[in-house]
Amino acid sequence: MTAKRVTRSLPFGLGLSLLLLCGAASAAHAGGALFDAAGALGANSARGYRQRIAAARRADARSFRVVARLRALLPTLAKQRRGRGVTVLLPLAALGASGRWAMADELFFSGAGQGTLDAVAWRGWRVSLLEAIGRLRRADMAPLLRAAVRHDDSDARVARAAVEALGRFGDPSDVDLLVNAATQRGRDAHQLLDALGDCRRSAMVTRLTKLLATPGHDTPARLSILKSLGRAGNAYAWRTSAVRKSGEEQAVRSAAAKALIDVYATTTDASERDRAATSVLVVGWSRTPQLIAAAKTRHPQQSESLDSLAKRFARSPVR
Amino acid sequence: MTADAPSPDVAPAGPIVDIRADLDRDGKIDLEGDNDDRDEDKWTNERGAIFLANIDDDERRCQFSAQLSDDEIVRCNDAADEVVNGAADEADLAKMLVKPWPLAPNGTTWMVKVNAEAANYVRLFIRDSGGSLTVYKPEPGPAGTLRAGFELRIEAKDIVRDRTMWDGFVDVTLEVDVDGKKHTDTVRLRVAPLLLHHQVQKANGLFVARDIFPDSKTFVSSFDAATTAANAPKAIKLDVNDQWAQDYFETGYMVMPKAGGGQQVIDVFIRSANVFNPQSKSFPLREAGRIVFAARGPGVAAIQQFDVRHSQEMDTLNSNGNLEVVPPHVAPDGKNHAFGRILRGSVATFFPDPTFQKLLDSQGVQPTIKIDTSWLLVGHVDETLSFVPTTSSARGWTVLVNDAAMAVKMLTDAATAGHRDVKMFQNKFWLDQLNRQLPAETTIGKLLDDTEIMAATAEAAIQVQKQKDILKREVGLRDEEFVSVPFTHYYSDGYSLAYQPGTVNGVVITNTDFIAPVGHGPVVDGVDVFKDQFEKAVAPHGITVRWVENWDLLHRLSGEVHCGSNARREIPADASWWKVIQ
Repeated sequence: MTAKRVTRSLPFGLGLSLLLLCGAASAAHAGGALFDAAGALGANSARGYRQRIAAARRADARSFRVVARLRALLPTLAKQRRGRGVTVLLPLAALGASGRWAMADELFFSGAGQGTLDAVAWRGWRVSLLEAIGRLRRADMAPLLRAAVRHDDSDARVARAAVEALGRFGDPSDVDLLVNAATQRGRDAHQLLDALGDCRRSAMVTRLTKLLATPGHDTPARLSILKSLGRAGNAYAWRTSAVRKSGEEQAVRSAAAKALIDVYATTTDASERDRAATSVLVVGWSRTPQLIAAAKTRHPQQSESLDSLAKRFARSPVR
Repeated sequence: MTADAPSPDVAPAGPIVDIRADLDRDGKIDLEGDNDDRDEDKWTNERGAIFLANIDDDERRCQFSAQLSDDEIVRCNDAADEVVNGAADEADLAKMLVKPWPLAPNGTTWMVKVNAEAANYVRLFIRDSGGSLTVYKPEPGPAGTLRAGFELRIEAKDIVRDRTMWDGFVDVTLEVDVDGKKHTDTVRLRVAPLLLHHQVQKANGLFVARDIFPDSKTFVSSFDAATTAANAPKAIKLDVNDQWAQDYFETGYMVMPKAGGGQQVIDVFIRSANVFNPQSKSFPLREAGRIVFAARGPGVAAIQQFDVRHSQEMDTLNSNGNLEVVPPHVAPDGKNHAFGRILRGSVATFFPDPTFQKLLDSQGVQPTIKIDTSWLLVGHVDETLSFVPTTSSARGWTVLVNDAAMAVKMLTDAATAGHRDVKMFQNKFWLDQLNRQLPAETTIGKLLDDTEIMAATAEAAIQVQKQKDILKREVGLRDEEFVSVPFTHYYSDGYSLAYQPGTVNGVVITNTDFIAPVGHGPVVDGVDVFKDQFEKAVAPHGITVRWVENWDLLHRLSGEVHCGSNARREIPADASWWKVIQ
């Protein structure tokens, strides 16, 4: 049985969410999987994945054993955890690329389900699996992650992890899917919006900027969008090959910086200004001083505030 | 003191209606002169009597039983009954004296009252003619007692938890009825606040959880080796199934001037406000925190404060890794924070238990500085900041602060110099339960090309910069007073954690020794570059780093040495909080 979230077509932040329980599980859908694979992927595609998983199990049984053992350890880890969640991301990531089939099987096909796991452990397990798969950026995982995003899990953190994981692939054709998943989330939209920035593409920054310009978003949502812009333009992320290969560094970072400075200069909300400033510094774009100078011209009444931002940028450790 | 005009029915000097307490805080009560009489109905930083919350357990009467609920176990202490529990307990009771009125006429009666606001929070005792202290209930007393004068004692039944309920003051009034005419004298006292320790105070007790976990032995033995090498107290091994010893309790103290001079102290063990079982009526709190009641005893109190309804999503902030103290300083606004200020991660949208925070705020000596830790998965101030003693500045202490950008620079410089393939985290694994199948080993080059680690590290650098800015503004710290501690971060569930062991998350065990987690960093030309950096950075401050292995027990479960240990510290030689309390 799966739980699917349905939202009314209202601007996010204003819409109500209704939780519906779908009908009986399909025969191809194991109770613990994130979604019904045949339904989500199509029968042929699902069959193809099952075959590849079976082949991987023959070639790399170790990964499957390790995933199963990690799952069994979750109650202990949850009990020993420190903080607001359980994470097994790094152990899963240590499986490497060959481990993705075991993870995909657990999450999308044969997973054991929540069973006796408490809510924290269950969430942590699914989030960690999604994160670990997303980090690999392997093309054969993309259709599964797209299905995970469309599934729109009732747990906002799980839904967020799916958005973040797919976004990391950096495929511009996924931008609409990702943005819609976040904006149609209703009251929890802010939890997904801050994950959009992991899709570090110009098309995503354009959409994020448009979202900021669209009225009707509540403060948490706007703060998440500002955070996403920071993530998209993150100075250190752009030093890595997985992100640089798009060739869009200047387009993304300059657009993100400009959008953030514009909000900084125009918002009357202190928390938005703070978040925008933080994100400007995280982006650390080299032409930020010039962008700030231009903003001062457009918004002379904010000169003092923009000067303050410029000073902070000048001493930023991330530039 | 009041003295009416002489009447034919009383002695020419008038009635002596005079109750006194130790207003000048010298440990004794002067019945002559006005040292302990002048302005006694007021209380100021300069003058005013003090009493203690008598919530220790001087005769070890209180049970420590797993059967007692969280609500039951806290109730037992010396103030829970109406009995003075021995000589040690008597010393915890502040004294008041009623001056003798030898010529009190027959028929004179007297009574001692407390103001209504304080009545439920204090208890009076009276020394009887046999010399015993018995509980005092307000009722008319005979002239004979007044003629001889008598002694009273006072205890608070609790600390101040909410100044809107009780502000910690009590007005004790002696009321004397002479032929239908009432004469009164009032003395005001204030209960001692709860003060928290800071890391620059000398440790006289260290704690770690006992080695009950498969991975505990290495950590515990490594910790013990460090304390031995430093000539520091050997850690007491707590009998709890929870390795995060920092999180489930905090240590503090209460002080009043002692009879005869010195300080009368009650140590306080404070249970964390973590609610791990919100549905349980009997045991909602984090179980390991009950250890504070095992510590309860002579001169040691144990308290807890929580609201079971506080947000579970924010419960991590109630762990005491998120409750630290900036050591003493004079702030830029001139205020003397002689006992330092509390430091907590708390913002408008992510904050700790409000009732616990209110308790802290109600003490009036260590105001709270709040910084943003909402970007961290665990959310504790000890993940990015730490305070250590220093011999190199007049301030006497300095700040260790995570410098994530420095970590990237160090790694980048090493890569540029041709060391991209140098390994880190060698022979370290994620989760040994899987028989070492998940190696943590990586290289400098791989780390620098890991998008999620690099992105998290950039954000960490900016967020910690904001934390520093707050400390600079609030405390007056200068840039050069921050000691950079480089380590990188990674994201999980959108929040940040230390990827390399967070070296800042350590413990001051003597005034020259700091325990830090072994970093397993890259070794270039025979030198672990991060280890080397840290040792060189703190050496000018007179600090020796004692490295402790905590990868298995703590680091791979999102914590480090500070998280996995705790300390009890010496009370300052001069803990005259009364000079600065607000």
